Parts: sequence; structure tokens; C-alpha cells
Amino acid sequence: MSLVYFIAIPILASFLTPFYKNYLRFVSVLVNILLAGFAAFFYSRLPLNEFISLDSPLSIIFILDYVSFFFVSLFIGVMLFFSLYSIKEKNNTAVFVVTNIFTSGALGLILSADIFNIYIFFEIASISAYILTGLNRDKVAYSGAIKYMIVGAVASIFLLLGIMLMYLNLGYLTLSSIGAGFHTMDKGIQYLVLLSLFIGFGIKTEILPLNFWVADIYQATPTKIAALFSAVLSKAYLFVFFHILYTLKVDAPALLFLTAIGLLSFAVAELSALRSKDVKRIFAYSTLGQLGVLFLALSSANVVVVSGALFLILVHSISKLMLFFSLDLVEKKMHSTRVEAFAGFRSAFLFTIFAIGFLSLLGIPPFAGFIAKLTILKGFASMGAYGIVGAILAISLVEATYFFRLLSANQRSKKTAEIKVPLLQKIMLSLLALAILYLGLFPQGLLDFCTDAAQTLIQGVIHV
Amino acid sequence: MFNFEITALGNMFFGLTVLVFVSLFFVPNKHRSVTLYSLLFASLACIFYASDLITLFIGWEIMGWSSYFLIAKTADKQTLQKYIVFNIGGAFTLLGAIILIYGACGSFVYSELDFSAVPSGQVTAITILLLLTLFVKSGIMPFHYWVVDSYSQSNDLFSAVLSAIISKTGVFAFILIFFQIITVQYLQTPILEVVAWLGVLTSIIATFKAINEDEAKRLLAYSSIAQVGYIVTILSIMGSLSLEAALYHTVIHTFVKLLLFINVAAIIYVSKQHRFSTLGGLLYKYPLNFILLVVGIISLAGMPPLGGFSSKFLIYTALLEEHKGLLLAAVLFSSASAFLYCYKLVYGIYLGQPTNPKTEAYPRIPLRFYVPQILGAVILITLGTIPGVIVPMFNGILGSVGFEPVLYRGVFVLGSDFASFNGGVVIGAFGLIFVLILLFFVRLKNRSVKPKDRLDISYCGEVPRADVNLHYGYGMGRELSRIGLIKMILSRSSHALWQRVSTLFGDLSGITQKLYTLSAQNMGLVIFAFFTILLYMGVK
Amino acid sequence: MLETLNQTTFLHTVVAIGSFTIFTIGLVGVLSKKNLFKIFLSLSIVESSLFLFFIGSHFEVGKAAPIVADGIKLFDGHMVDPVPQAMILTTIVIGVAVLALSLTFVVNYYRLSGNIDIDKMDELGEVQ
Repeated sequence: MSLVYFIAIPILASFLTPFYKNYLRFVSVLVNILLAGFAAFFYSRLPLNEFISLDSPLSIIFILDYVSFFFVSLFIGVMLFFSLYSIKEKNNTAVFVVTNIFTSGALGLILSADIFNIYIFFEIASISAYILTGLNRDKVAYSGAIKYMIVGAVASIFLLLGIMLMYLNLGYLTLSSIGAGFHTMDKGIQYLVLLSLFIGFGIKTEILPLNFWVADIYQATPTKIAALFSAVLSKAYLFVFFHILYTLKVDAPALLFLTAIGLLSFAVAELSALRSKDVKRIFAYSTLGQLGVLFLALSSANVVVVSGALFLILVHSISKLMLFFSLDLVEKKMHSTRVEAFAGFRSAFLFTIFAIGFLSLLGIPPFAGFIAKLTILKGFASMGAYGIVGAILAISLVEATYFFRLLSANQRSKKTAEIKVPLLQKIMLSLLALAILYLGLFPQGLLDFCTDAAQTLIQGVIHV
Repeated sequence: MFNFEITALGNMFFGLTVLVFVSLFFVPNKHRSVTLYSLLFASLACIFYASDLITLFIGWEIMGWSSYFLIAKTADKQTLQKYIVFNIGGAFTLLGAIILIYGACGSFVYSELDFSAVPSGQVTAITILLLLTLFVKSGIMPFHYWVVDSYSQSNDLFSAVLSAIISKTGVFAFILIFFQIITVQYLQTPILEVVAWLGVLTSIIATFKAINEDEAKRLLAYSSIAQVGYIVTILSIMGSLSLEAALYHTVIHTFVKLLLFINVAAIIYVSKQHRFSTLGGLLYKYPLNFILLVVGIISLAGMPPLGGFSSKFLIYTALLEEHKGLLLAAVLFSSASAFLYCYKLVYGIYLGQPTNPKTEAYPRIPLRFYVPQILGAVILITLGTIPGVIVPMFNGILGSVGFEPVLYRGVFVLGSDFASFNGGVVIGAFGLIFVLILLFFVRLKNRSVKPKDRLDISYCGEVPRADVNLHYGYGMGRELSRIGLIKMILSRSSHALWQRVSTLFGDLSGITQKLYTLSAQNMGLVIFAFFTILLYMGVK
Repeated sequence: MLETLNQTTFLHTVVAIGSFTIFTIGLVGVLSKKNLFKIFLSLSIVESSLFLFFIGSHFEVGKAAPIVADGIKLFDGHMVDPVPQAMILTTIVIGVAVLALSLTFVVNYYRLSGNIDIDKMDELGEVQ
């Protein structure tokens, strides 16, 4: 068994599309089930790493420790869900071709433990994301894709710059060796490397001054694909960034700077959503806000906070999948994602799903978001950072304002259309809602795993 | 995650909840939602029986959002927004306080919390955050902004729940946290002083707003704010007798508001009218409802001989005993003014000429409306007659939070060493006088002249037109605004303040939103500029 | 004089200055040109400057290109570090793919909207 299968199988499935063009959707489900099987197989063998070709400082290394396992399984879970959810879409082969490449890019990004492979998979995941944005093949979609590509190209330039500087000064590519040698470098170069990595990954993890493109991209992307961007893509980049950061053992002021940026990011994004008139953009802003929270929590270097952040990543993925997929159903019926369209649909089922998603994102019990938020806040309290606790709560209130504005609008407006949710979609969405409720009531098992993962993340990459 | 324990305090509040829910179960309502009401009930149980702060918070939040969905069936968007922003805000300050307590004491469990080693600044911060939560839930000024609209626009049955039970969760949490968990020796006296005055000012202002109100349910909502204001004031004295007074008033107010809201709901149900200016003259149509209303308002105004007097008596005694003369004067002022709005309920609905010509066509009130009303009336009359009967229960609660029990001298007597009264004697005397007056009027009745129709009244030789509002109480209360102070109270409202806050955030949002529509090229510029700035900072 | 020109450090300086110049040219293009084609070409120029810098910095006078041929069986001290070359080759391939994709989008966008000016792309943004 090799970790390479995680990357090779989905990409092969895409490239062999001509052989089973009309059945790719089934193949995608199979591929994801297979990957889930692999993940289950590796679970008892954690942590492990795999060298390919050369020896240590130059080799290609894949590493599967607790924290990357967390992300791998999250990713596979989401993609499996996505492919099952869209299994009835006969004429949408293109989506599956690209999502499979997307899967392999993102899994590669998570598993790689040397910076050059990280760059390659960073690009693969990005390219598939560009294509996914342009999938609607209309003016809006192309406009979004072009914007995405310009910004993405800038991001990869900075990432490349950082990688080159590291190689020039150290002569290594593997993360663990770089981590060991990083502090022998000149202080100025260290700063420049960190800065380039921060800008490169900051654009992709959608952090404050680098995230002004995001809302437009979400608006241009097909709604279901936007769910993937929000639920998994940005988190893969987030994970890799912090994996590198903790491996390089950056000093406290740098982490504090990231915390501040995360907090600011949270505040500005939530504030922007207040007046927005497009539900898809509102969800995009909310994603930005949550990523801000994740950023600030992950940069705390505290096990409790980081475990809470990992929990939040899972909860946020589930909630955003629910919200975007439901919004997709609304959009299909109402032909718009504007707030007026959102206010006009009638469907008790979808309303419940939206309500559960919102409440969970706001961190309101008994849903899982509460556990995540509580863990993060508890961690900050034990660090004595009460200012952050207060800020998070205050900004969450802004978040509550616009989420409930949507619910109120739907409750009290004239209904123009009744949405009948197909059975498959109903079952899938209910499963997500139940998962949120279950995790909210019985979080302990997952929290324990998150604690292990958090310890691994803070420790940085080391070879077993 | 959920930890519960059964306490005397929890029992009392849960008992009230059960009585209210069970009696309301009989009331007809077209917005029945079994799921939401069960959730609400469960969350209340969760709050009252919690043994750690997290359980309390979970209950608090579930109560908040399940109420939201219940209100959402009838209220308009703005009311809903007000409700949810204030209540979620209140819940988040509670969470903030809980996290602070966790940071200070390292635990969430009530019995493990020890504040002896916590710096006083931190205790003060915790106190203020908790007070904000309680103020929002109980509608203390200036956080009462959501209360009136939510109470008046929710469906009639849920208004009763909101006023009778949900406003009391603030009182419960106050007692739980400040009497049992943090305890008085760690609290700052100035804060308590401020709380006392906020409570009493709230009650004064709300009373005058109520007097000026034309809509029955809004009047009751203001009245509810005023009554909870008393409870908060008296609680902030933090004494044995004052706790007893607060508990007593909580019980009384629960049943008074249950009775009155359902009473008004019954009238609204049959007449479809919400305003006093379109009601009136229903006395002979609905005499039983009228009698029950009278029982309710006598208690609400705190007049002898019914239950309301018992609790007001305790409040006055407690204030006097602590030498809080000014507070007592303020409470008395507000309490006396309350007569005006109480009377408005009577004449606005039942007395005078009917404004609406179709009064005769109103259907009968369904009997099911009387279940909660009679429950409330029976309890109020009982507590007027034998006011001492629930003192042993209060003593149990006082004991459980570590206070001296108050004097108990049999079921008829209520009070302390300082002052007491015998409920049996009072009700006997009042009953006698009442019977005498009743007999007098029954004799007079034969001589009174009945009008032929509602326009059969002439004044100054003119015959009124059909569209003239003939209700003699029409517009009553407006004259009050000639008094400078009252005019000032009535003309001010927190609306402008909160509106300004809302506009401010809206404008900020408009500005930040612009950022998110930058073109790709400007985005590139931002990125390179950010890079350069950071580079420059790093080099320095 | 010619000796100086042939020194590794001197060459590295030239490479650094040269690639920085190209980087700036590309950057100015990205930030100031309005034509979408030109913007993407400028991005490509910026990337090329990085490639040049990386390869150039690993050049050492007197060492051969790391190509296993003509009887040479393994990498040794006579060759420059092979890793950068391999990396840059891969990166160039990726760069070409990205450029091709972006130009496809631009062409398609132009067909649908008749517009190639970045300032006139107003399909996205906050609805009023």
C-alpha cells in the first residue's frame, strides 16, 4: 500500500474518461469510496511517511500524520458526498473530470512534505479550481475565472519566490530538513521567505488584505462548486501554510501578527456581509469570516485552541456544504441568489436546513459549531487572551445579524414558489444536519482526535 | 456535557413553568408548533436544573432561538431582527462571562467555583457581563428595545409565555449567579447601587409608556418591563427579606401576566381588535372575563386584598428595613402610577360606549380561554388570603443559597419582625366593604336608564355622528404629557440610539463591501503594496 | 577585466539585477496594462524572471550542465546542482499550462462579451 494511490487514482480516473464517458459519475463515486477505504486502512498505521526516489534532503516525501489524516479524510468525505449528491447529473461529465483532478491536487497538497511538491500540487489544485470557476461557460463565469487566474498567478509567483529563496540558502527541499536549518539562515532572508510564503498562501487562504477577490469568485462559480471551495479548498491551503509555519518554528511576534490579521479578517468580512443583497456573496463573506477565525486560532500555538480550530474546520465544512447545496436548490427554482429570491421560496425542509446551518456557524448550541467555538474560547481563556474572546463574541453578533436577517426575510415575505426537494438531496442534506447535531451532542471522540492532531500540527513535520 | 441537579430554586421556577405551559395548553391557537414548544420547555428545564454554566448556557441559547422561531410566525421582520440581535447579544455576553469565569476559576461547575483568589477587576468584569445578559432578557432600560414589539407581535399565547416565564429566566439567573455563585462579598457595592436605580427607573419610564399606550398587548408588555424592574431593584439589595420579596413578586407577576395576557387574548380572539380606541363597552357581553381581569389588575397594581399586595408589601418592607428611602419613594411613585394603566385596561375594554357598532355580533369566548385565567385568579386570591402559605418554600430556597430564613408565623401572616399583616383579616375587611357597596349598587340598578343604542347619548344638545369615537376613555392619558417630566419621558425613546448604532454598522458595511469588488488589477496592486509595506516594516 | 566578467559572483550579480529588471517590467505590465492578453503575458514575464534568477544563481563557472549523456553516468562535482534545473523545467511546464488556460478564458470571454479591457469587466460585484 502506498500513499501515492491517494493522488494517482483520482487523476487516473479523470484521464481515462474517454473509456467510460457516460459513467464517469459512478466511477467518481467508486474512486472516492476506494480512497475512503485507503484512509480507513491507514488509520491504524498512523503516523507514517513514504520516501520516493532519492534520499532525505532531496527526496519526494509523503507524510500522513494525525493532522494530515484529519484533512485527508475530511477531503475524501466531502468529495464522496459531492459525487453522491450529484450522481443523477448525466450531462455534467466535465464537472467530474475536473473534480477528480481537484481531489488529487488537494490530497497531494496535504500529503506532500517537501516544498517543491507542495508547489506542484498547489498549482494542480489551483488550475482545477480555475476551470471549475469557468464551468458555467458564460460571461460571468469567464470573468470570474480570469480574475481568479490573475490573482492566483500572483500567489504562485510569491510561493515560488519563497521556495527558491529557501533552496538557494539551504539546498534542501524536505520540510523537516528545512525546519531544522531555517534558523541558521540570515535573519533578513528568513523574513523574506516567511513574507513570500505568507503572501502566497495568504491569497489562497483568503486572509484580509489579500482576499478582496473572493466574493466575486464565489459569485461567478456554480453554487455547488462554491461549496467545495468554501468547504475544502481554502482549508487545504490553510493546513499546508500552518504545517510549514510550525515546522519552521517561527517566533512569537510573527504568530501574533497572524493572529491580528485573522481577527481583522474576521471583522471586516462579517461587516461586509451586513448589507449584502446576494445570498451567495453573503455565504462567501461568512466563509471569509470563518477562515479569519481559523487563521487566528491556528496561529495561537496552543493545543486546546488549535484542536478547537480543527473541530471548527470540520463543522464549517459540513455547514457550508449544507448551505451552498441548499442554496443551489433555491437558485435552480428561483433563478437568482438575491435576498428577494431567497425570501420568496417556500419549503419547510430547506428552511430547517438553512436554520441549522446558520445556527451551527454562529456557534449556537446544541449544534456542533458551539463545541468548536467553546473549545477555542476556552483555550484563549486559559492563555489569558480575554481580548480575543471578547472580539470573537462581538463579531459573531454581527454574523448573527445577517444570518437571522435571511431567516426573517424568508419567514415573513410573500412566497412566490414552492420548492420540492428531490428524495436523494433530502436524504443527503438530512445526513449533514444530523451529523451537525450528533457532533454537537457527542463531541468527545472527535475532540480527542483533534487534540492529537493539534499536537502533531504544533510539533511540525518530523520524520518517523 | 449536560449536568443537572435538583435545587429548591430550580423547583420553584420549573413549577411555575409547568403550571403556565399546562394551562396554556388548553388555549386555542392557530400557531401551535409542538416541536418548538417542546424545545422551549426542555430548554427552560435545562436552565432551571443546570448544575454547570455550560448546561445553563445551552438552555439559554436554545430558549433564545426556539422563541425566535415561535415569534417569527407572526411578527414583522424588524421586530424579529430586534429580538434576535438583542437576545443573541445577551447570550454572547453570558458566554463571555462564562469563559471569564472559566479562566478565573478553571471550572464550569457551580459548586467548584471559588472567587476568593480572583482579582476584583475580573469579578467586576464578570458581573457587568452577566448583568448585561440579565438586563437584555428582563428588558431593563436601555435594553428593553426588543421587548415591547416582540411581546405585542407574537401570537397571543406566546406573549403570555414570554412575559410570564421567559422574562423570569433573567430573574432566575440573577438569583443563581449573584446569590449562589459569586456571592455578595465579591460584588462591588456601586454596581449594585446602579442596578437598583436602573431597575426602578425602568419601572417608572415603562409605567408612563404603558399609560400612554393604545394597544392592549403593548400596554401589558410595558407593564411587564416595569414589574421585572421592581424585581431587579429589590434583588440588588441582596438581603434575606429582599430575596423573599423578589421571589414572591416573581410568583405573583407570573400569574398576573398569565391571566392578563390570556384575558386580552380572549378579547382579541372574539373581536379581532387590538386597540383600546376600537374596543369598549364589553362589560355586559363578557362579565366573567371582566371579573377575572379585575382580579388581575388588582394584583398587578399591588392593591389589597389580593396576592399583588402581599408581594408589594414585602418589597416596601425590605426597602424600609434597609433604609433605602429614595428607592422606596421611587418604587411607590411608579407603583401608584401603575393604577392609571391598570384602569385603562378596565375602561378601555369593558366600560363606556362601545366604539365598534358590531359589538353585538361578537361570538362567545371559548371556555378554554378560562383555564389559565382561572388558575391565575385562584392563585392570586389564595395568596391574598393566606399569604404565608408559600413562605416555607421560599425559606427552603433561602437556605439553599445560604441566607437566613425569614419569619414564618402561619399561613395567614406575612412579613418580618419589622412589619407584617394578616391576609385573612385584610381580605375579610375588604370583602365586607365590597359586599356592602355591591348591595348598594344592586339597589340603584333598577333606577338606571338603559340607552337604546350606542348613539343614544346627547351632549350639549348635539347628536353624535356614527364615526365619532364615543368611548369616554378615548385619548385618555394624553393630558399627562402636559407635565414636563412625563412629556420628556414619553418623547424620548431608545429607538434613536439603536437606530444610530444600526446605521453606523450599515455604513461601515457599505465601505468595507466596496473593497470586495476590487478589480483583479487593483487586487494585484493591493497585494504588491501589502508585500512592500511588510517588507519595509521588516527591514526597519 | 575579462577575468572579472567570468567570475561566478559577478555573473550572479548580473543575473540578479537582470532578473529584477525583468520582474519590474512584468510587474508594471500587470499593474498598468488594460488589455487582458497583455496582463497575462506580463504575468508570464514575471514568472520567467524568477526562473532566470533561480537557474542563474545556481550557475557556477567551469561546471557543466547536469545532463547525463556522452559517457557520464552520474551527477558529480563537475556539474552544477541538477535540482534547480529539474524544478524549473517542471515549473515552466506548469506555467505554460496556466498561460494556455488563461488565454482560453480570455478568448472565450471576448467572444461572449466583445470586451478585452480589464476595466470594463463589470459582470461581478455587489448587486444594488
